[in-house]
Amino acid sequence: MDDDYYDFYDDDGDEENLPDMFDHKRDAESSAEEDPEHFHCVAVSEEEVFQITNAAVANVSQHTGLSLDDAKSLLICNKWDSDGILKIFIPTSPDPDETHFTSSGEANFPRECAVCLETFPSALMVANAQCGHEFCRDCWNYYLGAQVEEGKGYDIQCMETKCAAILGEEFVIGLLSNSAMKEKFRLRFFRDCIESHMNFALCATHGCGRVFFAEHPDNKRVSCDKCKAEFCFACGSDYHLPCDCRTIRHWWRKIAEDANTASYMAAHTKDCPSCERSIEKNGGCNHMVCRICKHEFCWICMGDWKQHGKSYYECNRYKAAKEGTADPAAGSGEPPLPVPKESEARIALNKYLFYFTRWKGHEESLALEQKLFTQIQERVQTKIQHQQGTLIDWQYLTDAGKLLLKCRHALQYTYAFAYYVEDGPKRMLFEHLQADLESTIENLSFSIERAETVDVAGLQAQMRSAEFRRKALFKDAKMLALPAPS
Amino acid sequence: MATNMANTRIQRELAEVARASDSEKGIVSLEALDGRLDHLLGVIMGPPGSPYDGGTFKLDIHIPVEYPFKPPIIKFATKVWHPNVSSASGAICLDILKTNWAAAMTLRTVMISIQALLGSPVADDPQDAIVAGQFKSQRSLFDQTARYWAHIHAGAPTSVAVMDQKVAQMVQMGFRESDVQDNLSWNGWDVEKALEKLAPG
Repeated sequence: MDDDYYDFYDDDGDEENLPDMFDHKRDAESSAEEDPEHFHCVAVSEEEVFQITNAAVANVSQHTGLSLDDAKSLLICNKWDSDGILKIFIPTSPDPDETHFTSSGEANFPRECAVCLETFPSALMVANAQCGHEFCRDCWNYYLGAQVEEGKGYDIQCMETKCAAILGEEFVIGLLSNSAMKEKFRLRFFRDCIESHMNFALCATHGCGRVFFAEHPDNKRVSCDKCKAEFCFACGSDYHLPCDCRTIRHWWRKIAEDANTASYMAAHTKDCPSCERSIEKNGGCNHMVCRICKHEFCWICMGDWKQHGKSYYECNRYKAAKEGTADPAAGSGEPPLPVPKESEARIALNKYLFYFTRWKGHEESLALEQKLFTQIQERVQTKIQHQQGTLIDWQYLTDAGKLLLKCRHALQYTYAFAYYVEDGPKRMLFEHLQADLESTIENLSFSIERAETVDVAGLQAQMRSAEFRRKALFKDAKMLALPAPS
Repeated sequence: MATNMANTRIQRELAEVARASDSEKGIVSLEALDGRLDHLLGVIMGPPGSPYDGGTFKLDIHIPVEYPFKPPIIKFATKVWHPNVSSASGAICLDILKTNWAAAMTLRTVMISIQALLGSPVADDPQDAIVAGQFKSQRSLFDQTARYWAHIHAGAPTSVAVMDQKVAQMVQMGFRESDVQDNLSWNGWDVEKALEKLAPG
């Protein structure tokens, strides 16, 4: 499937015309390809789309004897699987006894249109070549107009009773009389081509219209060069690795359904665990320093920050059963009080809230760090204007901001991912790597927010460390096959 | 233009049915109501060999302005006990009246399809859950109820004696006959249950 268009170019012998979109930068990118998030896709023009699709259409038409119009419809219906079509298609030689009304012998007889039930001279009747059913031009025009109005494209059926024939693109355009309608249909049909073709993706922004091509389609990140949107190549929704498309749909549905339960979790203020003063989070970094008492703590788990940085960082690890606390009554001679068991629903809710809080926390951090990134860019501009270094001198700061956003996004989605990973050593390893990245990122975020006072070498070391851990985490996630969400 | 096309077509369809009714006498008839071409009355006979045999069923037909590019809106005007017809409203569940409508279909072909649906219900695609459930699990009670309804609503010649008795018994208590018929049918001819529905508490 991926190689379809190569085949056609090979057949035609003009490989040199192959869009050179895939070859350049190959070597430079070989190191980038080790990055599990790496994805190569390019924006293509309408002409380039047609170049690829028309080759497939011509090939199928040539081997099946179908018209170009019908071959195109057939390809859309079969998700452009040319090989699959050619494997099952049995060419039939036309049966001489089975003649359509359109055959020359009866051409001049006036005939009745089965839709308006009026009789027309043959010149006003139009037959769909695929099934041979013919109706008057006016009925076709009215019917097709109504179908296009409803938003139909490649899937308009013949008007005949129980006829499953699908009407081809050129046939429909030829019969529509209204030019606005023609344009609407043409656009819809083009979209159908793109959406049914696994190597193409349409920009997720409504009305942007940018088309992307990937030689090896995958559920990876596309950044639109036109509208700056970022989305998943495979499903068109927000980019969501390390979750696959199905898992993230399940997660999004779940958090939408549970929005009320979890809404209080999304509150913007928390109390300082030391002095209990209310603190509003104003930056993306989860390493909080209370203005009043200078207590340092983690915004997510509210634990002491010292335990995050120096010893073992485990704020990301969900503890299924928070038992094991020493029985306070032990040794006092009194019989131990029965510990009330948490209901299954309560346990499920707690597990969900655990992951949701972290998901939401990183989402908010991401939004704040996007603002921070804008500020960094403005700051760099100002410095350059004031002759404080060149763009190259400050490049590291822009890069650090970009990296922070990338890792923060990754962290957010690892919590949706981890929610679905089954308990066990594999999950332990994943959470260990997640914790690694999380602590590195919080340090990085902390440093970037105070970038003027941090030394460049230190920041760059943090960046290398973050990049290394992001790759490690994605590599591990790739090996963990998620169970299908129920 | 659309209204014109719908009107012209309906006129031709009426003529077509009138012509065809000689050979298909008693099976299908179609007439315009009050001379209007957007509201028609169709009549079909219960198919022979089915519980509806001998009944005359009226169909209420509305023609949308987009006809024939949109399907006609058809429901039973005569009450019918059938899995694919609502026992309360007469609404019909039939694919060609919805997604599988094709502009080349005519009211005559649609009425023939509805008649065929009477003869062979599709219980897996029900319009009326109570009736469909009964059709699947208590087939003989379903057949009797369908025949009883065809008798009382569609003028089919034979009634069902047991059901006549139960209805008469409850009518004597002072309930309206049509309410009694409906509630007994909906409650599997259980007099106690029907009473509970008619006079709760």
